Amino acid sequence: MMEQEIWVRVTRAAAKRKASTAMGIDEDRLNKKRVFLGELLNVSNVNLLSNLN
Amino acid sequence: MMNTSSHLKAQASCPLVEHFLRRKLSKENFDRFIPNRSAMDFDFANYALTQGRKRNVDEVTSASRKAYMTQLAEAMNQNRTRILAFRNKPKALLSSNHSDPPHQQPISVKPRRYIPQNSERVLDAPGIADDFYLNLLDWGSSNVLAIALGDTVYLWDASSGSTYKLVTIDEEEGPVTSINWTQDGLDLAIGLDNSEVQLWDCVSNRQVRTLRGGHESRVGSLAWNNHILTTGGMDGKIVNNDVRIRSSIVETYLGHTEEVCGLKWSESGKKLASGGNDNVVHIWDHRSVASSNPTRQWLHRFEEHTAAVRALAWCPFQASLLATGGGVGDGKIKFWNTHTGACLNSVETGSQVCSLLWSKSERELLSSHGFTQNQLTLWKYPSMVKMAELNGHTSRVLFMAQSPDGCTVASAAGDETLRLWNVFGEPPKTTKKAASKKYTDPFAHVNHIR
Repeated sequence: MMEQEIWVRVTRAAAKRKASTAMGIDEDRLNKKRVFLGELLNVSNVNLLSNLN
Repeated sequence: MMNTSSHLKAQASCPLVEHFLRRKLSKENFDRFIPNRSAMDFDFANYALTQGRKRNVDEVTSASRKAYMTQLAEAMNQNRTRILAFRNKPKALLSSNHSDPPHQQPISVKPRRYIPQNSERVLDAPGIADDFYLNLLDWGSSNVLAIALGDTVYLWDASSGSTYKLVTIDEEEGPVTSINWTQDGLDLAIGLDNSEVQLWDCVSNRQVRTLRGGHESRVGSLAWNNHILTTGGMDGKIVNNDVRIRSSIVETYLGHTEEVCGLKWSESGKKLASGGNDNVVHIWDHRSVASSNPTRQWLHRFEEHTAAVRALAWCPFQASLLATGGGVGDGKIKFWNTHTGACLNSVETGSQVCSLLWSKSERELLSSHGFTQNQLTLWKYPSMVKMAELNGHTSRVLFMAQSPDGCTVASAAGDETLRLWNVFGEPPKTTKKAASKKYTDPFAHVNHIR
């Protein structure tokens, strides 16, 4: 079966995992830094932040 | 010089020559208080004196027509109020005749809606699978967003902004390959890599059932039709499960030779659209009466896409109209009359079409795309003019889900972010009342016969 829609792309998690093995950082601690569905704030979004509904 | 003057003399009876001679004389005898006949427009004077009043009585109905009439009057130089002219202005006349009409835009009847170009929220989505064939995002009618991140399903309450974990699937069964809310937004179907489907009650947060035996490989597509859960698998099969029955498999649709990656019931629940990795779209007929033959032939088969079809969207304001989007090797959005099977339109978007959503209030279609721009594009239907392009994702935008009120769209991509876009604007008041009424319905948890 041909996987015609496959695009191999390095995700940020994969990049961090790669970096952590190089730097010897514990992967568990690295995973805990990211909050699932946590708010990611950046400058352009702060002004536009508003409550849904 | 001598020849010219003699020529003019010879044709003294010609009115044009008389006109020139009189003009020359008038220049010599210029007077501020005597009207200059050569400078007057007698045709306009006649019109103004006879029909001008009639136009004043007429009432222009709409603003656009008024703008059109104004522009037309300016182009034809009909805005003058004076009839008598005391000076000959040849340059003004020439420039007036040859000048282009003004390029100002006519007053639009409907002002264009402001569409924010930035997402209003960005949420972290670590571990979301960058797999074109899965369906990992759904926004239920109880205003809870479900998203599958690897082995775990998270629920995000859009009303309160709180997040909680529903379930983490065992490694032998997982990861999660698809999720889909029931119409009442209270139960969630979870398709797994091991070919099983779990049903979860999200009010009490407990599993109520596991469906087995329908597929031989992962279940990447799910679609609810009241109490029927339709599943699409990597094996190309489409299975209708009646979740009220112990032996749940009531129908199997065979037609796709490769993975089923798009699955959508029409709003009436009578037609099912399926898209596959075989570049084919099928339309299936759902009949409530159980037949002796559990395997059914399709109503229509569309083979015009040249890549996998994952994006499917039934039009909410025109029954039987289906929009489909093709993958990398196609990049087109096509519109189908699913009653006749005719392809009504085909639009080249320039990149992989991953997902499609219709607006619930306007005649607009939102598409999400892959390489190179990874953008969301808002189209005006049926002209298919681009109204907006929403950027921010740095990877292909595989998944889109629409809020129950129809205003907000959530998009998730392989860049592991979930973005919320206020793209469809504020709903009309009637729609909002209807939407709020639906949630406060005391018997919302009971299945309605539609």
